[in-house]
Amino acid sequence: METKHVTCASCDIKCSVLADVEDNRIIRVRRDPDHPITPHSLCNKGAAYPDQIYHPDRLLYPLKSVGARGEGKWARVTWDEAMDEIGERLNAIVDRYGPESVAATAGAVVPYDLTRRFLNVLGSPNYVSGTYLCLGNTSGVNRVTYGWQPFPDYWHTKVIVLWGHDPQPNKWTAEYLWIRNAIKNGAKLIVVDPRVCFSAKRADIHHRLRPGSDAALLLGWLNVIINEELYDKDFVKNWTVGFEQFRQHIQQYTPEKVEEITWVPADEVRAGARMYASGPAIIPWNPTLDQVSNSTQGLRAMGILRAICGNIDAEGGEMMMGYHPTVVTETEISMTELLPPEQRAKQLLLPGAKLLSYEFWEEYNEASEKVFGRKWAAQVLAGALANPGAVVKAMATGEPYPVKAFINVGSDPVTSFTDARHMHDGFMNLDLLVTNDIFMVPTAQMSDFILPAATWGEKYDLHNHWDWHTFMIGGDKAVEPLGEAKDEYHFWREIAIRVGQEKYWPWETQKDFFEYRLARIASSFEEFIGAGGLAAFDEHPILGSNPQYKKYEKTGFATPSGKVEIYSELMEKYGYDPMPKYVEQNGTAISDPEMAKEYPLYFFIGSKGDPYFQQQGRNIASLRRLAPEPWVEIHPETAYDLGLSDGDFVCVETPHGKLYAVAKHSDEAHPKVVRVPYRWWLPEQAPYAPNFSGLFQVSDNNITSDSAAFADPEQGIPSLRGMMCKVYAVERSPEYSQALSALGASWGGFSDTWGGSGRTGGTREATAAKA
Amino acid sequence: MTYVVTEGCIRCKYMDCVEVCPAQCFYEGATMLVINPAECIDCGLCEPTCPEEAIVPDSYPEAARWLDINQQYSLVWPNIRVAKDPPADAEEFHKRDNKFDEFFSPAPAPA
Repeated sequence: METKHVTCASCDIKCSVLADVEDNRIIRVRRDPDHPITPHSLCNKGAAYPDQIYHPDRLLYPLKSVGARGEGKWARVTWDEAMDEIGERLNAIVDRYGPESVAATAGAVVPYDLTRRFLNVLGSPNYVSGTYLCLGNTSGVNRVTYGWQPFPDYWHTKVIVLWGHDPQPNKWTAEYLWIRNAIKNGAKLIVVDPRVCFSAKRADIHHRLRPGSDAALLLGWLNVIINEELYDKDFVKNWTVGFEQFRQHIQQYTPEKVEEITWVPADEVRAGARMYASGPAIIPWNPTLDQVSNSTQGLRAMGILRAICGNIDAEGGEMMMGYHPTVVTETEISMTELLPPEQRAKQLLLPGAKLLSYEFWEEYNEASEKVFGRKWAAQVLAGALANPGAVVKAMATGEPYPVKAFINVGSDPVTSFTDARHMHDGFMNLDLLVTNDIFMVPTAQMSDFILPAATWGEKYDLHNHWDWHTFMIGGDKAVEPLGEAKDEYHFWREIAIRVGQEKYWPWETQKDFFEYRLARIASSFEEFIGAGGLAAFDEHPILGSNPQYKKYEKTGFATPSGKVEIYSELMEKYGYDPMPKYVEQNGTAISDPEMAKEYPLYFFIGSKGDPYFQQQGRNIASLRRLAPEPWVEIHPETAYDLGLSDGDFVCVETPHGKLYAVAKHSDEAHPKVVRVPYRWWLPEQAPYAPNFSGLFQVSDNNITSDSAAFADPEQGIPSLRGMMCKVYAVERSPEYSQALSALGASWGGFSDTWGGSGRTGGTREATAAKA
Repeated sequence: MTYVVTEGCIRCKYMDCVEVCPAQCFYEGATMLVINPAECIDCGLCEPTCPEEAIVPDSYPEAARWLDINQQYSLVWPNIRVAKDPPADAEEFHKRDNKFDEFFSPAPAPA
């Protein structure tokens, strides 16, 4: 038996774990006690990996659709046959419609840089990614304030703010462990969350805020910190622009005013602000502020808060790590510089929303070159992101120009993006849809070609969270891929060489490619892994022998002024607010009280109560057993008033649509706020048209809108939080029940943790009462 | 692979862990609980709940001597799915050292 050091990609935290391998078969995945970054880190998703890699439903052979799109008639073909035809058809599409008519994506746990490289070399600006409303947009707005997206120093911090973010033993486990250790070392914890979540129960301060009002709370904290002079005066004086204007501007956000907007009492606002300002502090990235239509305002306020309290590039604060000095970075691999200006200008966006455009990104090139030695600098490979709603509109209608081809790697865009009907209509209207994936998810079901993908134990890994933290972490390949599954590098290169890109893909294999990237520090990938699989450098603040903080004192910040831009003239130039303010989202009970009479509850889509990561795991028994049905969390008293018992099947309806789920009572819920499940598909249901595995029953994208009316005006992202809904009882359809029962029966039954026992997050008394 | 219950549990048996375990993999002895390593799904939800910090992942050095005990006794002790009240004198054994030699019993929980 051999033990391999691999990177788990059951979620995008990417813990380094151990895989025990016998006869080219993975027999178990276990914790690595010695890894310097993620020691002892593993969750039940990673532990269940053998069930994924050896799952009977894995796609193992290339398939070509030989019926209508979405009909489910497949012929098995060879990789060469598939790729030859894909190449032919792509070339024809590009000749006729231009490279901009080809869009592509990469899912959360597969490489982004390869998709970007392909599109940039091709000449298409239409890279679509879930990061547009998750981490990527954060990096874009952080860039406005201080030219980079910092990474928290969990290892030395004294105050942690978890803002709508709840890492737990089995959810973002590595981060949970860093936070837990920080708290054991004396760090204080502030939790901002309408729910009494796992972290809230352990917090020093808990702000139960109204979803969608986050920017107001941040502005309230800023009001307190500025008026009580708790900020870092030297830093503000030497390294910011616009402070005095901002001081005037912030006066309106008194704690009392903020209480009205956010539900957080004024004295709590003060307490939270003072605690944040009390020590080196971190606000780890959270999805919440990325998924509201006042996201830009909130993220700007958050950036200013970090900066004026002296937390930027300070020990225990948020580190501006910069690029790795010797390993070729993902940003370089992306080759954004190859995309010609006239092609960049064709990027599909919501009108007026330019913050994630190439045009806006270009404004930072001079500063980036000065500070980082390169143009087109970005973390999360998110410098510019096309708007999925605009892209599928172009697919469906040809406006403003047709998008005819889509290459889908490790993602399920049809169920990923707002709104489900628009996604469906756009993708069904393509001339060419190519998917590289492991299971037959809805977008795969609609594809012309499916190329089987290698899972994480079947390929090598090199990651640094897309240049967000500098040190690079490597993972070995544990076993050869099953069937004819291949890694993403192989997939992209096969297409690339057939469309004239061969000179940009000279490395024959993924391993060769990684060895190219590591060439200045290791002569082979084996050597790199053998030496620990970690590429740090002397100046690194966590791992280096000579850690460097406050690098801005030498280089300035990568903003037009070279300083932290509390006031941003660039935002002003684009017609956006130069300083953040509070803007109520459209479609809430506050902005549309008439409509809210019919939709009396607030909702948010999120909260990782499930044992899943995004869409994965619904066909893995040990995971699906824990949460067999999508569930809506609702406070028991609220449910009582609505006549909803624990375990009732319900419809969640908004002005935009409906989804179906089970009601789950929990006194962790805020009485006014329901939690809506996300990224569900039902592998036990009929795939293909028209049902597509329950797409229009359970996807959260049935209830949100991609229209500009409900979008963040600067970014163009939809809102998933703080909007209005109603919840009422319905019956499960016979098809739904039968399919689910059959699935459970095939696994020897679901556990009895579901059916309203309240076990997950329940109380001792409640469980005893039911026993 | 698994979590294991270690010395802290002995004579305290707070059972907050049982409350949250989705895999029903706890087994009750007269003086402590154990986890069945084959049934544990590594979700980690039990670990932060224990007031004695008695539950650790198998990768911790202190887990080594407890893995066999958890393995062995989970096969003979009764499965516990619903938490009971801890013993009346649990507090007296809070954070005490060397509970294994003095107090461990191979007997299952009384019926």
